[in-house]
Amino acid sequence: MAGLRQSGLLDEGLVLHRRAYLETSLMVDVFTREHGRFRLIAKGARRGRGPLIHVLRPFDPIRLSFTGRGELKTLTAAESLGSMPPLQGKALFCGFYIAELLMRLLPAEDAHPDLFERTTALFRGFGESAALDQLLRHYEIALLEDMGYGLRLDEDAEGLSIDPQGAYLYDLEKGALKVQAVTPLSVSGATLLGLEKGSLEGDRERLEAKRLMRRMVDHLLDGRPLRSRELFQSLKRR
Amino acid sequence: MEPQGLLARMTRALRCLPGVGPKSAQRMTFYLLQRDREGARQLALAVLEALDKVGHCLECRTLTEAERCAICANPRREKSLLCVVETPAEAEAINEATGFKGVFFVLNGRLSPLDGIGPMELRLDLLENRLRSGEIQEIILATNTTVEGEATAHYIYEMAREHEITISKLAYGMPLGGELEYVDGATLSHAFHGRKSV
Ligand SMILES: [Zn+2]
Repeated sequence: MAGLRQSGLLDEGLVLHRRAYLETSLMVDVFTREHGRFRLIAKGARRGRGPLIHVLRPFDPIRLSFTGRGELKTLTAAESLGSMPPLQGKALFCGFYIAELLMRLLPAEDAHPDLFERTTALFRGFGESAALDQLLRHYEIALLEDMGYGLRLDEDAEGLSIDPQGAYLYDLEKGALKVQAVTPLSVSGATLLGLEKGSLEGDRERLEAKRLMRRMVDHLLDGRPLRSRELFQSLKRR
Repeated sequence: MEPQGLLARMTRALRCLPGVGPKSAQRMTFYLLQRDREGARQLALAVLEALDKVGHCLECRTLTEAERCAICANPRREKSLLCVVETPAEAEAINEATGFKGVFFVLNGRLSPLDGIGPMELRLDLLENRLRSGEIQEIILATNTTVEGEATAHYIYEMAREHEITISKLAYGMPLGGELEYVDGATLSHAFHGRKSV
């Protein structure tokens, strides 16, 4: 595509969200490898038979060029980077969740190349794997680590190996604290070890892991609710 | 500072029309005031009256000045067959092009959590009530193939699945007379993944 050599900065990115802007344009939130998350205008992307609207599809990888120094940039060209099977069913709702998390948590124009790689792999995984829960937990751990909250999942706060039979309270600052009795907030050692290995065996482990990661993510969000999570929960009540 | 006065105000107001920029808005202002004052008065009155009186159909949520739109009020329409669309214009298009004999449910949007649009904004509670009432036997999901449209279709599918209802979705694929080479990648990918056995 000759247009990509035309003008501006080049990067690879993922479309997080897009909305109609004025009569024929789109406002697009992207997460790019080298320039992080930012917003740009795709002028005329909704006009005529231009292919741009099909390229700028949420959760798809693109190569793009853009100009602009301010917060709102201008897209000068974009092309698809390999077609992924369109996300379907629950995977779409997971996509919204990840996009909302990234739009909330990543400061604008702050590069997170490792997280970018993981997000690309996650979106591809959504289309290929049925184990959405596992993929999400794995990604949430990586996201926390990228935000400076690496979890210690193989030893407790005292430096002792995690006991699969034990009960723990996880504190984001201190780590896993062993407790004597199981409480609604505690998780089993098996869950912590499962999260570490990236394979959660039983239903109980999966549920505990989900609750734990949710508390951690909520901490980063300062308690502000996620609309995509509310939607996902109302879907699951069906 | 923006220009003051009635001429400027009218020009600014006309810019709310789709596809109308500052230049064409100004042309319209001068045209209406110089050449067609009566037409302008009719336009103003029609807009005001429509704003006052046009609301949403109690059953399908499309735009109508009556309690129920012409389709919902028509006793010959099959109330057991429901087609879900995003906009009144899409209901109109399907109605005219397909000979569809059922009724519609117009969402007036699509699920988009990142824009703050959830099930309540689309009045899916009303749809749920209709599903519960047992009058619907078949539901056709005709939302768009955007990610939001697909998510909306999935959500309604999950709602409808609890009730014993036939659920179908519009088939999207190659445009009629289309050649593979000239179809955009997204459409082609959709057509490919949604292929049918022959
Ligand atoms: Zn109606």
